[in-house]
Amino acid sequence: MMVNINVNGREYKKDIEPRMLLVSFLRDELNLTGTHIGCDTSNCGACTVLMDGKSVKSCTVLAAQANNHEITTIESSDPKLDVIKQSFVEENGLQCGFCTPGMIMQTFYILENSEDADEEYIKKNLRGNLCRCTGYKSIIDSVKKAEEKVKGEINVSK
Amino acid sequence: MYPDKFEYFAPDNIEGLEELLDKYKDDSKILAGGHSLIPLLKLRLTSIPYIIDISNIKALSFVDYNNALEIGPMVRTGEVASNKIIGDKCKLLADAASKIADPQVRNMGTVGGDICEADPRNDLPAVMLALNAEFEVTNSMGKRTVKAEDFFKDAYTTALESNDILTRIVIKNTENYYGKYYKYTTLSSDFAVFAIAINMSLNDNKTVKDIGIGLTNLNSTAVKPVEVENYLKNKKIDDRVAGEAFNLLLKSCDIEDDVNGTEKNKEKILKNIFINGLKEIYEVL
Amino acid sequence: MYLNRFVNGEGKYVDDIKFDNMLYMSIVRSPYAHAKIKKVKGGLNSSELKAYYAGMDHAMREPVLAIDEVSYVGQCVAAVFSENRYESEDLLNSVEVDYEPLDAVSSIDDALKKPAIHDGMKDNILDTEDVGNKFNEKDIDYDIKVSDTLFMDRISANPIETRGIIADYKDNVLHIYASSQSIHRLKGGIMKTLNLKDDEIVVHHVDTGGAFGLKALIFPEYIIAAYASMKYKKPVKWIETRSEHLQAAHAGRGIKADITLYARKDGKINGLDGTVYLDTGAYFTDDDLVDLGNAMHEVTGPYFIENAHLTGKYVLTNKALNGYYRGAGKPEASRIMERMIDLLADKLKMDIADIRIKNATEKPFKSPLGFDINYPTKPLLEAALKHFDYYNLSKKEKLGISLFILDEDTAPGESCRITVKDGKVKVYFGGDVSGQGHELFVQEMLSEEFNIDKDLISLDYDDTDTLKDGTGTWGSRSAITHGSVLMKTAEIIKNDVIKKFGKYDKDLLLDNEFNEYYYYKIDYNANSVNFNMVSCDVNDMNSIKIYTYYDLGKILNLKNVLGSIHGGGLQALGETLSETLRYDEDGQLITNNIADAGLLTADKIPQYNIKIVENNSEFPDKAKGIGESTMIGIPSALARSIELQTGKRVTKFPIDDLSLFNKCME
Ligand SMILES: Cc1cc2nc3c(=O)[nH]c(=O)nc-3n(C[C@H](O)[C@H](O)[C@H](O)COP(=O)(O)OP(=O)(O)OC[C@H]3O[C@@H](n4cnc5c(N)ncnc54)[C@H](O)[C@@H]3O)c2cc1C
Ligand code: FES
Ligand code: FES
Repeated sequence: MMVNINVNGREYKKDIEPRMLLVSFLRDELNLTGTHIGCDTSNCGACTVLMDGKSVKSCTVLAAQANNHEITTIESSDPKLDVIKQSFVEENGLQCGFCTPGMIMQTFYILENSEDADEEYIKKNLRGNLCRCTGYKSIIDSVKKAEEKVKGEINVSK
Repeated sequence: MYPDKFEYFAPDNIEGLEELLDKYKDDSKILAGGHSLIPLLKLRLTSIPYIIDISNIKALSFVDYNNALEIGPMVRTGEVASNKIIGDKCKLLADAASKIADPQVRNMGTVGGDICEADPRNDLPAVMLALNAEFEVTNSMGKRTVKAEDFFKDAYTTALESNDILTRIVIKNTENYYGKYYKYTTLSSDFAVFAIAINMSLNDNKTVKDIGIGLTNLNSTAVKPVEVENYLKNKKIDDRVAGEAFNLLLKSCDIEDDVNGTEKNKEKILKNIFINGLKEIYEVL
Repeated sequence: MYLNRFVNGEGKYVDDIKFDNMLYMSIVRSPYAHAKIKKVKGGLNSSELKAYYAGMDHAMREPVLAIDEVSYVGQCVAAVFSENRYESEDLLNSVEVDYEPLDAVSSIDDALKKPAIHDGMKDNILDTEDVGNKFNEKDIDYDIKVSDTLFMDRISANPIETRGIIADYKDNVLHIYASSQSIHRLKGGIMKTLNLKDDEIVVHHVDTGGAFGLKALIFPEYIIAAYASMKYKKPVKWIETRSEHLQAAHAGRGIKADITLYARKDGKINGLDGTVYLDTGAYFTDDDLVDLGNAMHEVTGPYFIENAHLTGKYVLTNKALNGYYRGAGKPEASRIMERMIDLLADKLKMDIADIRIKNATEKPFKSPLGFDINYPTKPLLEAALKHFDYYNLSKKEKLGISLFILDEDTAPGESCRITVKDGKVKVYFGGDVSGQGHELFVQEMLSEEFNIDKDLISLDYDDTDTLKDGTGTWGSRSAITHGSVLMKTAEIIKNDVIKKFGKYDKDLLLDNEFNEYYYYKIDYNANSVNFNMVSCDVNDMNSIKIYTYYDLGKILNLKNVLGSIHGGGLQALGETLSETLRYDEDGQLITNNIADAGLLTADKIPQYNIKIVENNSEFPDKAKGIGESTMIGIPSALARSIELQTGKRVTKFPIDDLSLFNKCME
């Protein structure tokens, strides 16, 4: 079937099998390999992307379901995403890096949806993302830092 | 971890959907948010030749209130948790929806899908029982109303036939009711080990006017312990009454030793959350 | 820097690498824990590829593809290939296998009772081994004897990136790209099984999404992919699914121990005796020796016990093979001792700190079990207790404590290459990085040593051609081994500059080209003394407080250290409370997904109180190890804190009690 999916601001028209998962569409069809696969039961969140601004697990969405929708991935050049990425670097919010794209996309969603996410809120909203390396502490610190920056309490260009 | 082949349709109106369901019958299945169906397809625990995506049907996505709360089946559970009307009119539903899985799952999964899947561990069936919800069911022959208590037949089995569509959820027990969803999990899994949905209203003399209860994962499907509801009506809730209610409640449960714990341990925990829950809601009212 | 690559989604993990004409491999696996194979038709099966891997030349090694019999759920029976991932899974149905189910053994206890699972064996004990001095209880000075049985269930490593490999055979050379802790080990393993010569295989290191011991091993799937690539003359990719990981990836722990302590009234322990059993799974691998070896030799840990003897038993079950998991026998050993010493303290009505002080030492010593302790253990224990004000705090909080030795797998050393070219310094290590952030300390150390900007320094990936030799990252070794070889190689480069120009300055370094390789040999395992304390309120998961008092020698990079403490801390909570692989009595795995496997989420993180002391080690970089410390120190201390509140002694890990930590969602 033909699908027309907007990924990071660009339209992609492709002829695909209806059974193709969105994550395969991104990784195999578009070569956007930043979105990862960590499980086959929709638990780990390594595959998190935004669909029309809402975070979803792209391993559990058919590419067909994304037809005529907008997808944002870790490869997007959204300035707010850059601030989040920088915060993860500064706070050492990653070790092996495998969960990281999913964590960052979920952080993007958290910050787009909450004015002032406190630590409790952040933790609850990261429940769908597993990390085996960091014990989450530095990830939570990264989200907090990104939030402060986005709010402008820290000069972003610093 | 990749589904078997299927054909895919995405009609944008109910008539188109009805036609496809009539044509493909048992070989077809509705796809709402896909967060029960796609995991099964991926593990190849099921294979369905014709998948019909209903997300393009605008008439299935709505939240309204005129004397009763009316919700379209395609409303995502994340929206149910945060929707202002639902939050105002039905605390129990909003609370339960916020306790489903994680934000990503709630951004896709739908209220209709959670109900129709009838997974004994799903949260919303018990909530619907506690709310005495009514379901509008549509097929090419017409519409009918099915009460929640007649809807859940067994694990993964409902009153729906292969060409039936859940088109509307109606909740009347909203004004003056307060409720909450008590969900007990393991440390690492989202799904309920068991959960209790309670929806209550009081008379002026502080006795229970009406109460609805629904139980998750305490039997092969969600159950409504009608005896307990009847027992509690017109009573004031104190430790003795709550304890007696719990003894009746156990009759609706089928608790066994399993990987989550022994029957005894589970009963003890259940008793605690039920009694504390009843008292908490009673006190809020 | 690597952090930037990863946050931008530019990591290159195995599954991100694509070659033309690549085949995707899927594996037909046994649905039975134990069965005869009456027929296999289709796919690549053992009628064509009949080989054994790992396990030296032991008679009970695992065949790469099952031969006539399957012995665990998930065992490889056949492989299918397609240019499309989805179609490769479709092909699984094309292989016909007829099984005749047999009785299965699903636990150590089961194995001790039931008939042998393999022909040619009289029972399920693969091997028995004795360590220490066998003693007669009549000959030792004791007033009290305490005995108990302890269990540590199986755990799956569960890195978020599963196992995976690409084998690409071209121009008579087999190129391997794998998610690995040691490309050199992997090379050796594949060479041996497929009879390749040294110049017929090159293993390339790629980004590795977590490893935790598991990815130091070699697996049947890797051999099948390598063979298939040579056969089809095409690149072959295999990416494990999480379900396959839970079923078939070699699992850690799986220990049972029957232990007796003999002590005087004053708490001095004079004897330890018992048996330690390892659940090896269905076949033998070399890793079993390391796991049970550590789990026995290190039991007496920081305490001097004059008479100690253990019998070790390697026990076959119808389960996936045993493998390494963060600590590989060391946490098991310490947990056996710490749980027993708490029991003894209770019996003697002694304080758990006092009894440890009584048995800790003023000087280094060698234990009768053969564990050489480099440092006195009492000074650190007393300093830690004082630092956390243990005696006062224990009146307010329910405290568990744990004193332990971290055995650092420093032998046989490590290799490094440093190149300077175009004003950039590149570092290659023989032991591969699997997400521990080595680049951070590489930059920190070299920028100081060379007096240059951190940005000019990067850690690059090698292959088995760039660095002919190398070891790996495991066993809490890399701060010492990688840090030390880095210092040594940097010294050589500095000397090169001085030899050439008569003096060192950074411009002379950066304006010229240098390339040096060095292998820093270490012929023994070092160790260090560490301490953990844990408190909690059993009604509140967020109340868990982990007190850490580690002697790390010189800290190479604080972020790395904290990353290890926090990451390992949560893994240790998981191991204590929820993480496991469950099997039913037929040997069927009933843990169906990574959530059921017990991995904890962000809302479960504990509070930390961290004190690091820096008593320099004897190595060039002065560092000591850390990687496995959390797994050793935290579980037994947390178990103690819990049992003080429930009144139920903890002998089984994970504790896995539904009523703990009130899990009613708020
Ligand atoms: C990791 C994970 C964790 C989860 N945790 C929880 C949890 O804690 N609690 C919980 O309740 N659920 C949980 N779920 C399930 C989730 O809530 C699902 O979204 C929900 O069960 C199904 O809704 P859906 O819209 O995704 O339905 P789908 O998967 O699209 O459909 C489910 C079934 O309902 C049928 N169906 C859907 N809509 C209609 C309709 N309008 N008329 C007729 N039939 C229809 C479909 O044909 C299908 O058979 C979890 C899921 C995942 C993947
Ligand atoms: S890959 Fe694990 S949730 Fe999508
Ligand atoms: S950084 Fe390795 S899984 Fe999160």
